[in-house]
Amino acid sequence: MNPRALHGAGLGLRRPHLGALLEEIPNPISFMEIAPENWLGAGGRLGEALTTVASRVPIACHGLLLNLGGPDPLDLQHVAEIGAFLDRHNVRVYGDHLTFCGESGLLYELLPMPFTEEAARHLAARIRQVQDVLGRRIAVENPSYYCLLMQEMSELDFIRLVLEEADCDLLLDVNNVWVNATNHGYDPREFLRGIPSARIAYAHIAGHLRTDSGLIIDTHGAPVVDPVWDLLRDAYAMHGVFPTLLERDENIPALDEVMREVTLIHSLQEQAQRDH
Amino acid sequence: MSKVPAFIQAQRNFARYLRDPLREPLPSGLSGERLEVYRHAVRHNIDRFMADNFPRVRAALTCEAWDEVINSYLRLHPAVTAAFSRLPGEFLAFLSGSHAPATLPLHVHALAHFEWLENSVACDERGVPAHGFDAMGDLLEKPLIINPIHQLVSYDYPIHVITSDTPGMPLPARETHLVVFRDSAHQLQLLELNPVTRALFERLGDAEEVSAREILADIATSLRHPAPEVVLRGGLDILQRMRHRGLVLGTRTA
Repeated sequence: MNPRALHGAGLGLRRPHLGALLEEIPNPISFMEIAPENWLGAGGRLGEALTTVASRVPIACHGLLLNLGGPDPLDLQHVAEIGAFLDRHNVRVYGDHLTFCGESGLLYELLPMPFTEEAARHLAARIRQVQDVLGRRIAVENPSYYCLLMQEMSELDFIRLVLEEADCDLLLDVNNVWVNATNHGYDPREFLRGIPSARIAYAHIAGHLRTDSGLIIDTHGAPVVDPVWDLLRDAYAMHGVFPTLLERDENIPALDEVMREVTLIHSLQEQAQRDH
Repeated sequence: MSKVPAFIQAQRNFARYLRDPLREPLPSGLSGERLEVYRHAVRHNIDRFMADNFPRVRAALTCEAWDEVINSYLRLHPAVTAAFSRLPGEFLAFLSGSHAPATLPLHVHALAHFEWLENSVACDERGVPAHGFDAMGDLLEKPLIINPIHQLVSYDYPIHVITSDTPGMPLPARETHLVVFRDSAHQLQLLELNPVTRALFERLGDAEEVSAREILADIATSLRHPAPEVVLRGGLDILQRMRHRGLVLGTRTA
């Protein structure tokens, strides 16, 4: 098993919190995550703030626009720019999503992959290409998805095939497992048991929105719900403790309030380590 | 010709529908609330991003006109930039191109350019130099060091007087010269120049070895000004304002 580049509990870095974070990175944050696409080419006040924060806490980069599963050729200039960015901020882990982002241009949204063997091999080949250019392994996230474009295999088999073919790591999004299991009617624990432990680089946890029809939308706009905390606890029991980061993208509350959830991650990790 | 794999065709149909849901067919087997999640997300992300980055263009258009701009941008513009700081440039390229709605008020193009320009100066990855000049030096006698984070631009309208609160004001056609720059405290700054001060500023940037006194004397000659000392005094006045605001950093030391 690879020694992990991150540990403990983390928080997604968001602009409304920058002022407070420049004062102090509160305990128990042991790493922070940014989407490089939000910061590439951003100098001035924001660029300076990021450089300061990155010098004080380990940074993970989680991209949005690599378009790993898309039909358009990979944007190698973007990959190279990311590489320079990772070096500049001494980024520990970098990755993106098991999705595509458009066709004949970008649509700036995470679009669901058709679950076919051919699509999995296409994705894996492009992940390898990115890993070759960057000279490092990347960690790809299991996304939430609402539509099935094609299904010749299960989501779990699709993900496992990509991880194996690409020889890359997984950013395990525990909330997405819950969202997808609910929306597509499968057992989230059975899914988690099928994930290869050694490939988990770190995990995400977040809140979501339940619509009137019962469909769950992965908004990252609310506190994490209890069933997802339970799922995280069970995932630690199955795979051992892994680094875990809280994401909040909508209705962003003050730092103190999101820190309550980061602290809960930290306590679940300590508890799991004791029970192990 | 090789056959397109089925999974790529499925991606293509999905993406095409999201670009133009009113005209493209529903992707096979998909409909209802789940498809709407993606249609809404794609449309909403672009709408919100562009409205946030072009607030005065947004305010200058009716809701219907704005919706038409966003819809045609999505349908017709193959955006490729993967850095959000450069995404405003995609919108500007679309508005300047042949696919933009023909009904847009003329000054909207200039306004979009100005908002894009402000954004790119604010985001410029270079820093304002803190050393290598004398901030108190003699502005007329020594070569000047200009803040590199600036853009000099001219419009046919006084575009900078428009705010999001006064989008509909009638705008007289008037040639307008502006320098947009960022000071050492990261504040975006704006200075309006007249044709003479514009000429002075351009020559300051070009001629690193020449003093402002020489440039102003040249300008007075080319204007056939009856009282060159008036040009010199006016020039010194604007140079002092430029230094005070952080556009002129100081005079060359070495």
